Amino acid sequence: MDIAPDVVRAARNGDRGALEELISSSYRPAFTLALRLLGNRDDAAEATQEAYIRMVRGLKRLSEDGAFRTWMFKIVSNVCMTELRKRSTRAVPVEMSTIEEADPVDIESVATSHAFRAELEDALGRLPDVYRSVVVLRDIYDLNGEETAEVLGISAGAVKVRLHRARRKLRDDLLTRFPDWESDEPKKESA
Amino acid sequence: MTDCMDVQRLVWADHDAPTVRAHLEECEECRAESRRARQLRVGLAGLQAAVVLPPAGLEPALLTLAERRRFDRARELVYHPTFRRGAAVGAAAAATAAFGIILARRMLRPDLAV
Repeated sequence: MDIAPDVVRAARNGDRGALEELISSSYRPAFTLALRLLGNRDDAAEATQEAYIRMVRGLKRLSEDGAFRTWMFKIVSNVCMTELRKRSTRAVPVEMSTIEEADPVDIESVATSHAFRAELEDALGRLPDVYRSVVVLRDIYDLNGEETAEVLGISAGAVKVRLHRARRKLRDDLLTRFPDWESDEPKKESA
Repeated sequence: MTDCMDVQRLVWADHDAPTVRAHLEECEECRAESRRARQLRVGLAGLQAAVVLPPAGLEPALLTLAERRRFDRARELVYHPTFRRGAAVGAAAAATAAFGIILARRMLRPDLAV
């Protein structure tokens, strides 16, 4: 989600074209975040619409044009958390294999290999909501501890504890898929 | 001496204390755990760039919602009590001014009076 601050500024000042550009260039990552948090495409689409209504309503209050990305992620997360709190049962984790790779990060071959990322996405889907939400916001969408605590309605200390447990759960899950996952090139277990 | 269990707990919590680093230099098992923790964090961070294709109708729906919201906002402003009070005060002021002008003209030019 790369959005120029002047587009945000123009949209805030009532430029219709800029608002449309803002929406068109940000709705896919926003939908993906909602899907990761809710695990259901219909719910994610509904949450995205609600988030954009709030975005348009609140755009005038956004003081820092460069902070749109984080601000938008927080709005989506807030809408999704409200939805998750209303739920009595958990949605079945969504099949995320239809993802398209946009700007792959080539930092470490293992962490960015397709097989590892696919398993990681699946493992995320298997995490309980309380752990998935914190790891999605902190480790994927890079919200800081305070922002995550605010969105989740918990203390910064609780964020740390949940994040630690979530990572360990992911680690245990991934180790069952990659038994030799300490080398540079883990091989997926056959069978 | 730092215990392996402690070190492995710390590497998953992003701790990078000198005692942890010293232990990692000597312990292959904990180094492997540290590598796993780093690979997981890098892998998770990389997922932000991987987006899911949304339903085809979502973008048009969002654009329509945004446009409708702008109209709603304009309507809210028009029907807002402050706006309506202001409009009423403005109308009263305009009527008073018009009446004043007519009155003044009649006083200055009695021949214009009907």
